[in-house]
Formats: sequence, structure tokens, C-alpha cells
Amino acid sequence: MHSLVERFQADVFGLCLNLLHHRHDAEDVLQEVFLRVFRSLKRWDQARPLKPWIMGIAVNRCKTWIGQRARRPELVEYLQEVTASTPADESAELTHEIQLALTELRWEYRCVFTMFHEQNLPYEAIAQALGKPVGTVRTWLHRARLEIMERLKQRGMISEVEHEVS
Amino acid sequence: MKCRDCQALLQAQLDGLAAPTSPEWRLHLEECRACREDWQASRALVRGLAAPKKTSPPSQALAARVVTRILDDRRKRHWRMKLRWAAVWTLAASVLVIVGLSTFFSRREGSPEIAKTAPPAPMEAAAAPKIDESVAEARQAIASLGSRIADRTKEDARLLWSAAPTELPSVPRREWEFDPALQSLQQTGQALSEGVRPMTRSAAAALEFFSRELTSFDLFASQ
Repeated sequence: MHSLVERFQADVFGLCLNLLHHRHDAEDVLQEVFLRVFRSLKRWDQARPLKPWIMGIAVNRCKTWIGQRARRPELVEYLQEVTASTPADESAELTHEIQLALTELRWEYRCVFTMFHEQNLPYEAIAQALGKPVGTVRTWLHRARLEIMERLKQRGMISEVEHEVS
Repeated sequence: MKCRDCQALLQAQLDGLAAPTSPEWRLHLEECRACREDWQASRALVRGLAAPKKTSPPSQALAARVVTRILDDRRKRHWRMKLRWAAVWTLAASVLVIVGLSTFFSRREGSPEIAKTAPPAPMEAAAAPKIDESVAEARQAIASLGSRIADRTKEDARLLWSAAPTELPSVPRREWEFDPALQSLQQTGQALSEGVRPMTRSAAAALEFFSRELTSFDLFASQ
């Protein structure tokens, strides 16, 4: 049990943190996720990989948590946690902007983008985790990228030298 | 190259494939400002995603806390399951007790037809005499019929005797000869009723048994 928690806790924590933008919430949801995992371990299809299944549970728990959080009054505090840190250099500023753009994305886009770019999950694993076709996942990811890129353009985060690199 | 092809290359590159290097693509980027900006934004996105994150990994104690909570949860669920089963068994036992009690009381104080068959001892005493009585009545009827025939025969014999000529030899009146026949008839009726009595008791017991079983069956069927 301990080894399974240790094996997946970093991935689950990273996903929860990216989706919730709050460390304490991410830790609470992580505990909920592993509770659910061990409660419903019998229902896991052993023919399929474990990680997407756990990630799917994590996404669902985060969604539920956000729904509960929306009914609580201290929403401003969460937003402050995301925006309070001042980026030190240009790449950090980019990361900060991407994080902000992520908060404005549709839930499905945010999930797919985080799972692909932060958790390095392939399309098939994301599709398994979300219970959606691979084509849908691909479309969502492409749209998520375009929306984030649009925000980066609006915020003046691109430079003319970019295309010369390649 | 069209903008659509350029977008596909851009997404493929963000998927992790090699960046496009073809002259057509470069030429298109030089000519199309929208695609060029998209390309620049994608490069910025890649750099932003590649930058090291400030977020620290979860603490080592978190795994221990998670395991503790899982074990607590298991213990609670185990007890909850036990309580649930205990509640189910208690409920089942209560239902059985209620059904048993209702059956018992309905037999004692229930509908009239059931009440008649309920007490076994009086039932046995009440049912047997009925057939006994009818046998005794039959015996009495046979006896009275016999005695009536005997009386009439005696009367006829007296008339014949009185009408007979005087020169006939005198014969003493022998009324007592009819009495043994009557006595034996009475004894036969009594013996018959005595012999039938065990059979009537068995029949009454069987009737009571069937009526009881059928009553309980009806009660369960109606529930």
C-alpha cells in the first residue's frame, strides 16, 4: 500500500496542484484520491495500465473539489495564491502566464493540457483516464494550446526572434 | 503550403515530433503573419513548459498520512459493514418474532372458525361425543323400534290368545321371553358405540391437525 502511494503520489499531486492551484487543497484531494483508489481497486481492469485509471480518479476528485470550493466564500484567497508570486525571469514569467491561462480554460481542455504537458501522459492514456475517444482528446488539446498561445500573444509574451530559432 | 498544413505541423511539433524544416514551411512563415505569430507563440509555450517549476514535491510525511487515513477508512468501513449485518440480522429476527407472535395470537383470539379448532383438548372432548351421541341415539332408536315391534307382537299374541277357542290347552303367558332380545340389542348398540369411540377420537384428532395446519398455511400465505 505504502509503495503504491509513494509510486504515484508525485504524479497525482502534480495533477491536482495544476488543476486546483492550491497546495493544501491538492494534498487533501490526493488523500481522497488514494482513498478512492483503494476502495475501488477491485473494479480496476488489470488488463489496463494503472496510472491512467488513478489519474482519471484524480481528475474526477478535482472536479468535485472545485464544485465544492465554488460554494465556499474564500475563493479570492485561491486566486491570490496563483497570482501572488512574481516571476523572476522571462521563462518564469512565461510559466506564470501559462498557469494563468490554464485557469481560464474549459475544464476538459485544462485536464487534457495538464495531463499531456505536465504529466507526460500519451493520448491513449489520457483517453482512458477521461473515458473519451483519442480523437476527442486530441481536439481538446489542440484547442487548449491555441487558446493559451492566443493569450501569450495578447500579453506580448512572444518575440520576433522565435521563428528564427528553428 | 497552406495555413492548415502549417497548423498541423505546429501541433505535431508540440506533440513532441521533430520541428519542421522544409523550405515550403519557412517560405509560408515569411509570407503569412498569422502563422508566424502562432509559431512564435508555440515556441514561447514550449519554453514556458520547459522552465523548472517552483512547486515543491509533496512531503515525505504525506504518503504516511495517506496510508494512515486509508487504514482508518478500512477499519471504519469494516465496522460499518459489521453494524449493517447486525442490523440486518436484528431486523430479520424481529420480523420472525413478530410473525410468530401474530400467528400464535391469531390462533388463540383470531377468527371464529380458527378459534373453534384452537384449543386441542376441549376440541377432542367436544368432537368425540358428537359421534358417540349419534351412535347412542341410533342404538336407542333401534332399541325403541325393537321394543315397539315386540310390544305389538305381544299385543297381537294376546288378541289371538283371547280369541282362541276355550278347548285349547291353556298356555301360560310368557312375556319375559321378549326381554332378553331387547337386552341383547341394547348391549350390541353399546358395544358398537364403544368400538367406534377410538375411531371417532382419531378422526377428530386428524381433523384438528389438518385444520391447524391449514390455518397456519393461510396465515403465511396472506403475509
